[in-house]
Amino acid sequence: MNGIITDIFRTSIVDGPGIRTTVFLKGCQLRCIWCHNPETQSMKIEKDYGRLIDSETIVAECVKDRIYYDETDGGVTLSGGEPLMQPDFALEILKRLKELGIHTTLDTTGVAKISIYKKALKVTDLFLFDYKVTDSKSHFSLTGSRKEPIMDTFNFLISNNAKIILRCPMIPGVNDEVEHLTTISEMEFKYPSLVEINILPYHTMGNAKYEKLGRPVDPSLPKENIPNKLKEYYLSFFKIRGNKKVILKD
Amino acid sequence: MATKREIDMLGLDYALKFTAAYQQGSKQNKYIRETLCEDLQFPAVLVSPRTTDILCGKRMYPEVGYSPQYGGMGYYFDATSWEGENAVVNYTSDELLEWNSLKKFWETEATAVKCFNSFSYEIKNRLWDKYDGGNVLRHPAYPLYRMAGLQMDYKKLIDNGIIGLELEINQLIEKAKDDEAKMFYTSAIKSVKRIRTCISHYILDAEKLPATEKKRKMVAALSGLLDHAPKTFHEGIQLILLVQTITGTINFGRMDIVLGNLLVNDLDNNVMTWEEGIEIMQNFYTILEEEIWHFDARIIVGGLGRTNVAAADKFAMLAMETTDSLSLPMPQVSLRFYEGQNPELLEKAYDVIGNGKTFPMLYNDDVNVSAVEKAFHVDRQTAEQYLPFGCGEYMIDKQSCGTPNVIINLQRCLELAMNNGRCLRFNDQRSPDYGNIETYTNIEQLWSAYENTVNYFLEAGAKGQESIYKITGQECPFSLISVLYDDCLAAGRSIFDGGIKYLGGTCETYGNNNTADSLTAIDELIFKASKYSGAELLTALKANWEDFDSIHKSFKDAPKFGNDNDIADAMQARVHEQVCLGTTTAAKETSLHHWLVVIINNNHNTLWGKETSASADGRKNGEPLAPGNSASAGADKSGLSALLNSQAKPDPTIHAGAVHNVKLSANFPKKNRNLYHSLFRSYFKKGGTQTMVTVTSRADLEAALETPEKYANLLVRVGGFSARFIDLDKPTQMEILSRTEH
Ligand code: SF4
Repeated sequence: MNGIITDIFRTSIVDGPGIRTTVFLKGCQLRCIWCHNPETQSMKIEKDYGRLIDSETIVAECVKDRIYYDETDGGVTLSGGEPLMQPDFALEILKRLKELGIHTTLDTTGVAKISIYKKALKVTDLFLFDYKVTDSKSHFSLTGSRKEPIMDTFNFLISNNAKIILRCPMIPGVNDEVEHLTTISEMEFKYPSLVEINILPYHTMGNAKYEKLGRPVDPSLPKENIPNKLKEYYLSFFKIRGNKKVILKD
Repeated sequence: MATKREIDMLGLDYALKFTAAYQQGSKQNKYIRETLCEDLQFPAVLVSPRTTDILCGKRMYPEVGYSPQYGGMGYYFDATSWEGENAVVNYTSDELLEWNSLKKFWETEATAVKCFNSFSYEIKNRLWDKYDGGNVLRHPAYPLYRMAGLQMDYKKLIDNGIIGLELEINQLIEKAKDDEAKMFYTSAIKSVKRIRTCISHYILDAEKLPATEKKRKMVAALSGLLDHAPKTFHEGIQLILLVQTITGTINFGRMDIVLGNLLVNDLDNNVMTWEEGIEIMQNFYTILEEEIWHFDARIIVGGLGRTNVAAADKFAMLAMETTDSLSLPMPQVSLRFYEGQNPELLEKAYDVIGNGKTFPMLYNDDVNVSAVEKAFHVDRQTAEQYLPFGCGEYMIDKQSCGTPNVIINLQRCLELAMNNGRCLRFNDQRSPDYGNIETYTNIEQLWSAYENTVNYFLEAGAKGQESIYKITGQECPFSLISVLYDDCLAAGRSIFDGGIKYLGGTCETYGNNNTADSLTAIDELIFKASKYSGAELLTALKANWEDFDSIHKSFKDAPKFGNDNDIADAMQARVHEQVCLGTTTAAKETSLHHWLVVIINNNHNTLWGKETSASADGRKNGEPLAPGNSASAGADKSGLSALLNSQAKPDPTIHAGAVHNVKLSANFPKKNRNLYHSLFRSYFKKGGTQTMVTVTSRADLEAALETPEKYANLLVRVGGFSARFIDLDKPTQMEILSRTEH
């Protein structure tokens, strides 16, 4: 089965446990203003980004690093974009990997249909689930998508005992209000089955891609990477509240 | 860096005397000549210790002298410094006349010149110019003149001491089988006595230092050596440093085997504490850093073939801890390891590398020993004594000479094969006309022209190497080195005159992976997809890709080595195999025991990049060639494991070593210690032979360009050597920056 991807990146250490191969699928319904993978938003093949590829070719590429997965409890992560924008393609890759005994992770926005997640549950060992904005209105204006269906997906996955790492992009002055931080903190206790909560501090590395795509970077975004002071503040915020599962990533 | 040779280091008088000794000796025989010259060199060239030293062993290489490599090979005369613009000393016109007549004399008498003159017309024609140190590299292949890959038997030295060696040779003189042997033994005994002379000289020198604990220890160690074989770690390392200094052999081999027992004995009997051991090692490292070129000063620890494993491991830990405690680009500590070795060694190694020290370099014995067995045609026990020397060429400890004496640029060969044997930029003929890409209709035709071109140079290289050994053997006995080399004393012959056990050598290849990527791109785009014609490619290459953006992009985007891509890696394997087998085949008609490819790198990839036309892998003229067996700059885009998998593929059993540079972002080892260990463990399980890791960040490198003064400790691996980033020239700095950071 064919699909469109931007990249297969091997030896990723930021997309789940161990050493992983991350496949970036093209297409995303959301339009987060801070998106650091803007080249994956459109489903189309663009000048510098995107190629048509067979799922078997992807699987063959992933298998090459099996020895590294085995040694580090790693595996393969499907990311994007929203991988489930190409549901059959994504599910086919996950299924084939599972058959081969390779650990699978799905990095998802939660925006696809529940019926698709139902299928995904069978072939996914771990979900990286985005939690972006607490206030519903802001959620819509910052991501271009409603929050409620996303939370429905989250609840569906939780009630089906999915293993989930919650991933929270943190953009100073944009979504890091106290209310949002407090909600994240409370989620650890409300959903004891959560594996981890990752705080992902904003960085400007994606800016170059905007330039290449000829698109402006949103002016409300910070001009610099998050300063260490602010990272420390986030950390202490969660520490005071007794959070054990919150981890600040680089 | 090495001691700089400056004018008037020892003066005109010294140069005149040395030359007179040479002339007088030449009337008799090579042994007497060497003795006369060496007696002049020592202790005259020795440099005194400083108050901060605890060891002594430094020397100069004046304008005229004798050594296996430094200064120049054999008898050398180097006038480069006093011909330069910055004359340090003003000579009178009479004195300059004398210098000039000396220069004239050595223009035909220097050993390297004699080597070149011994080449047949055919070799001279194919290897063309005399190598000038890499300033001009127009030709695809050059002979080098050096006998540097020499690792002496330090274990024998330590176990026997000076007294033991004297005893052995004295007994042999009595029973010398012929006159030649007698002359050699006589020279040999004098070479050993010369160590005594140097020690006595250093004792007097040391006595002049202010009274400190360091000085007391220094004098005690030196004095002990006059009397007995080394009894302490301090005495042992002092003797090694001194003999290395006198012989000019500049690498240290398996020091863990040699010094492990003395170290453990001292620690167990409270002769020395661990901290005192570190202090001695730090002084040792500092001296090496000041004295020796950064391509050399290898210290090997760990690995198969050690009998005193526990004691040797102790030394290995001491060596790595010393590396960690300093931030020096020298010495080049290298860890050999195997399944079942004490895991602490590798753990320690990863930590030190992770701290950004670029050392130790890692060598996987589980792959390398059997590879050496096959490549060198030796038994397993012998293969266990392989040593990565200098920039990484393997040799057999105290039984072979590893130095590359030929360098060849494969990408230049491909360039010629595409264009009737003519250079793309200047259109000058450099090899026979095997055809033109405009007329080739399939990859095999191009391949055959390329193969013929490479072999054309390799054949001359093998004969050149043989000739260099022959002349060196006739001219230079290197008696002290011979004493500490297997078989020489027993045979009654000096090292290059029938003494050495395995007289072989190596050939340094450059641009291997550019060549492979170029061939892949040509095959994919011209022959398979017919997207472009050979003529179009030639035009674009001649224009250095300028104004050919779309064709340039296609060739750049073609599959590249370093991405675990089957197409690109298969071509790389083909190029690798061709040059390796072509090299061994070229030596079949010579007397060389082995002649093998080494895929190492000093900064010749950068130097040669300037002279190599634009290539079909998308590289422009002026851009560096890929270093060693690494991917071309920025071509490894698929992640670290993909790079490592590609690097683990080429057959290791047909060459004498390849270096693999990996640049890691500082965060990886620091924050993901276990993942980083596992990653390399897996790579080695997969058959990886070797790796050398630079841990740094792009931000640091860029900042170091801006404010070098703040980054004195930033170490990077260039190719076959490490360096302070701020000490490198601009093109090399840019080459390092252009490498992918994983
Ligand atoms: S969900 Fe992810 S890929 Fe989609 S727009 Fe947001 S940040 Fe970008």
